[in-house]
Amino acid sequence: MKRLRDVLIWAGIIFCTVAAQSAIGVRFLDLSIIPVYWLGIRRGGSAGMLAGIFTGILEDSLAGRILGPAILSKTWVGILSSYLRDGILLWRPLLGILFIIMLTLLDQTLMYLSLTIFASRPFSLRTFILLSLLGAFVNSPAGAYITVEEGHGEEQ
Amino acid sequence: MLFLSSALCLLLMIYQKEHGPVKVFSAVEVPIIYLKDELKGLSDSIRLTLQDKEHLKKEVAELKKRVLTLQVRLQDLEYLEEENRRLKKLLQFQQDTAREIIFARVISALPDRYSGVIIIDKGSRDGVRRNMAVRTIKGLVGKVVEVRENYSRVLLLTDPNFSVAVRMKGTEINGILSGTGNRHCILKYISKDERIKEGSLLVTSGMDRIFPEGIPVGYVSEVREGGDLFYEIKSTPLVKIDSLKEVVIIKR
Repeated sequence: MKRLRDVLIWAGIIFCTVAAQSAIGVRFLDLSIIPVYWLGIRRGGSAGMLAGIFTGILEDSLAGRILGPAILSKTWVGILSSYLRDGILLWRPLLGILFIIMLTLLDQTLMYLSLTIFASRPFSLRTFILLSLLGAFVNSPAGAYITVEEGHGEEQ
Repeated sequence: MLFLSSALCLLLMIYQKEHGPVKVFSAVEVPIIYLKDELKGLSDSIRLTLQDKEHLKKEVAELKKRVLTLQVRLQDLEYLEEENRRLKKLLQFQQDTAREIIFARVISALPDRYSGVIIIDKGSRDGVRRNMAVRTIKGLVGKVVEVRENYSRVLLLTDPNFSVAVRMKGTEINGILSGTGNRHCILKYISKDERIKEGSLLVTSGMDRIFPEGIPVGYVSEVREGGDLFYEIKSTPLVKIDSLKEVVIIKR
C-alpha cells in the first residue's frame, strides 16, 4: 500500500514537473531530470529507470515527435545516477553538483543525437552546446541538495 | 539493465524512422496539456498582480490608442473591400472566393526545445485538417501537422522540417524558405544572377499548393555570397513565435 502511494506521488511529481517545464516555455530548462536523478540516487537503479521511462514517455508524447529519444536519455540518467550512488563512498555537495551537470549534459547529448539520427536535427550544434550548458547550470544547485545519506541502502 | 533499455529504445526509434512516429501514448497528452494551460494561466495572473499600477495605467492608455487605430484601419479596410468587390464585378472578373478561416488560441507554445511545434485549441471537430496554413495578422506561422478531436499541432516555420515556397514581393524571384531550429529561416535556391536587397519582404507564392498565395512570411535579413551557384540568405519571420497567443487557420 505504501509502495503504491509512493509510486502515485512520484508519478504526480514527474507529471507536474514536465507540465511546469513546458508551461514556463524556456528552451534550456531541463528540470524533468531532477526527479529521475533523485530516485536514482535515493531509491536505486530500478526506480531511476522506471522514473526515466515515465518522464521520457511524457516528454516525447507531448512534443509530438518519435517515441524514444527522451525515454533513452532519461533512462540512462536514472540508471547511471544509481551507479554513481553505489560507487561513491564519501558524498560531498560538490560531487553532487558535478554529477547532475554531467548527467544533464548526457541527457541533452543523447536526445540531440537520437533526434539527429532517427528524426531530423533539431537545431545547430552551437545552439545545442549553449542550451545544454545553460540547462546544466540551472540544474546544478539541485545536485548539492540531493544526497545519498538518507535512504542509502534501503534496498539491501 | 542499461543495455537492455537502450536496445529497446533504439529498436523503437529505428522502427519509427521507417514507419513514422508511434502514437500509442497519446492518452497522456490531454491531461498534461490542460495542466500546462492552468499553470500558464496561474503564472499570468501572478505576474499581472505584481505589476505596478502605473505600468497598468500606461498599458491601458496604450491599448486604447491601439483600439482606436485598429478601428480606423478596420473602417478603411471595409471600405476598400467594398470597393474591391465593386471593381471586380465591373471588370467581370471571377469573384474572389473569400477563404473560410478558423480562429484558434495557442494553448501550448514551445513544448520543448527540440520541436518547433505549438498546440492550438481547435481540432477536427472545428473543421481543422492536416496541412492547413496557420497565420496571424502579421504573417505566416506554420502549418497543421496533426489533428485531434479537440486540439491540433502546428509545425512552426522555424522548425527544420518546415518548408514553404516563397516569392520576393514585387519581383518574380521564387525560392524555398526552410526553418533552421533557431529564430531565423533560410531562403534557398536563389541564383546569384538575381539582385537581392536586405529588408525585402517574402510572401508565399502558392507554388507548393499548401499555402495560399500572398501571405507575408518574413524579410531578408542577411545575404551572403555562398560558394556555389546560390546565395546564402537568412530571413527573419514577421511573426514573433515566442509571443503567439491567437492564430488563424486558413481552410483549404
